[in-house]
Amino acid sequence: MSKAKWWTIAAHEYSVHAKRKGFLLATFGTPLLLGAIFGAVIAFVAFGNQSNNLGVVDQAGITTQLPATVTITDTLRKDVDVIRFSDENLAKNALSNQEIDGYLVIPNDYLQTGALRGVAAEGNLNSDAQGRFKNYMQKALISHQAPLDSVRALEPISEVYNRKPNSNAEISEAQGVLLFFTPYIFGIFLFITVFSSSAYLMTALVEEKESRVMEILATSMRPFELMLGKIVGLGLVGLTQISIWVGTALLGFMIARANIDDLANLTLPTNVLLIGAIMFVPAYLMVAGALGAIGAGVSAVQEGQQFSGVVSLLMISPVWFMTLIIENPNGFLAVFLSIFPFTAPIVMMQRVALVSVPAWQLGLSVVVLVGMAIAMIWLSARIVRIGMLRYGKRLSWVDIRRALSLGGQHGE
Amino acid sequence: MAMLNIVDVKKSFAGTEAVRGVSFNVEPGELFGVLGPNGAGKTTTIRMILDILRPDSGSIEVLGGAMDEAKKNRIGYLPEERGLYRNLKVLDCMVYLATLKGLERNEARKRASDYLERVELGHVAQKKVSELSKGMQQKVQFGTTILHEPDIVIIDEPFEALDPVNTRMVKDLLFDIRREGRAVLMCTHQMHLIEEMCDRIVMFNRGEIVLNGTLRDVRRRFAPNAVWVEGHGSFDNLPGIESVQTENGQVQLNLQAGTSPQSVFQALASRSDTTVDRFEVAIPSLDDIFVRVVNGERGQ
Repeated sequence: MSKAKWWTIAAHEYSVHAKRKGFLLATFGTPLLLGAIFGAVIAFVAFGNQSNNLGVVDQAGITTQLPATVTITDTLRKDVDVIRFSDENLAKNALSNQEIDGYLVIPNDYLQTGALRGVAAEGNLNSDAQGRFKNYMQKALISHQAPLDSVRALEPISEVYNRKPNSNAEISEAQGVLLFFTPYIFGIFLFITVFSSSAYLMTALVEEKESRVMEILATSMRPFELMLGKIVGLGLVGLTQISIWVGTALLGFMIARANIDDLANLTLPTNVLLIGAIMFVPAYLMVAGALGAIGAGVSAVQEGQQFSGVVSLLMISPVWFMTLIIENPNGFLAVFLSIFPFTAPIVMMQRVALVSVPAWQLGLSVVVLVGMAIAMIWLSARIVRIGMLRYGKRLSWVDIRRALSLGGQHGE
Repeated sequence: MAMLNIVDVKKSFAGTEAVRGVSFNVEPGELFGVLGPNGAGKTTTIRMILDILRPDSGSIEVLGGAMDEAKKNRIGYLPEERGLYRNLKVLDCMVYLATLKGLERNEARKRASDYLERVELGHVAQKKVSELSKGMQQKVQFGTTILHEPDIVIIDEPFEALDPVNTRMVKDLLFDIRREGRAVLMCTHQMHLIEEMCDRIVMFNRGEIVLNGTLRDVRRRFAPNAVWVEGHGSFDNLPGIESVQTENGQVQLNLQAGTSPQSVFQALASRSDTTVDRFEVAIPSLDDIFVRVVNGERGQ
């Protein structure tokens, strides 16, 4: 087999599809859009409530152990000084002179009631200022060695701890959210990439049949070379896309973790990503084989889209069973869907995030997926042989059966 | 060594015989015409030559042996059902298809540019294929067929959508290929072009070859033993004439067996009341032969 020809096709497919406006928009637009939303939130937090310094009027005498000016570092590392005023009038003057954005009055009975009074130009202390005061008050209470119940009054719920269903390891609320969403986010990345690359393959084959370029291709190489080139080229297109998405997501995660205190202890479920990475190539080959066979067998793009919709539904079907899978990640349904090749990538990532999946199930899932990928590529090569020069009408079941049993004489 | 040697090739589809024992060969430096009505088995035979289909029996030798992957690069094919990548630029499309025939990319680009200049399409090199007229696309398509300088060029209706000027351009390119000792196998329904260009022809009908030979031989087989005469005066009562037919001012003198055109010419020359403007041995047009063959006649 001439290596050059399939590689020429792969390079051509990559070059054509990676330059498509739709691909560029999806590949760079998605992370840009998400980045823009994320950045806007951060900017809003960081700059929207941009505050100068804050004041405190301590009538209860609990801040005496603290310096007159305490620098508070907030979650975005923006330093703000909290200045203690001996008298509320001084604080009012500072507020009216815009030296401070607001001040907090700690009344005499604070330790009993936990109630504080905030004063700001707009009437209410904004959430950013409240966060800083919370931080300041914790420092004050600790330095004052206040009774424990007062601390609890100030912060009735400090943190929620969750656990995995079958694990004693405690995970934080944020970590739980991360574990819940990671398989779905990466599952959707995988689905979109695998499916869109395979759909490109199907469309390219149908268009080549419609435009009759197929006749030239058929006389320049073997059908297997043609399919190999297209699958490799479009697979690389998909790999580029998912790499950019996953890379951007990981970069965003690392930036967020480094800059947001509440996320500092989060750990990415690398086992989920590993499963996704292992399953990406066979999942792509399986779907590309299926859609390639459809592309060779139908006579119009629209017709191909109808058939490919079935494959798409199969792949995305785990979303319908999400609740059942989460409730019982080792139940029959979850295990079955994590081994059934079309649903395996998404469901297995979900299960791995929730429980320790037995090694044999992991192995079986990958083996079945790889087996299905090989079967689909074989099937598509056979159907391409018989369908590549069939113009204007789709292959019948009889044709397909003949292709499978005879190994393919193509054309009319 | 024959460029193509096809011996007793048969092919059936679902019990229907599409090609029935076809044999012919194409020599180097030859422009070989393939004629026949639609569905006669021409395209199936070409697809078997190109190894898209495999014959049920018989043998096909291409460039001295069985077809293999390397030989695919030595063949240029312009199919009847043709097309290009409509959304690609003309030059990119030509370069891509030429690289699939084994040409190195830079060389393909150079040859494609030269070709476009030669066929007066240099100005559309950076345009999308879809922006070109049908005739322009046809010339681009023809270019992709010959860019890799194949030893055998197989072309199906190469002059479709071309005006007389562009037809002349493509003809010149085909004559160049012949002059270089390469071979052209051409299918077309435009009989006058076959008559003008081809050295030998085969004619298919219902899966069989019903005519095979040089144009001269084929025409002689269908020649009616008559002469065509134009002039003034009477053409009746000439010795050795069986009958006289007149159509559009042209008179056809049908000769009796054993009468030669030479003796009729001498008889006419000796008549003082008759002037002859034109005298020609009646040779049927290929068009005529085609219709007669399709209607079941096989010639003498």
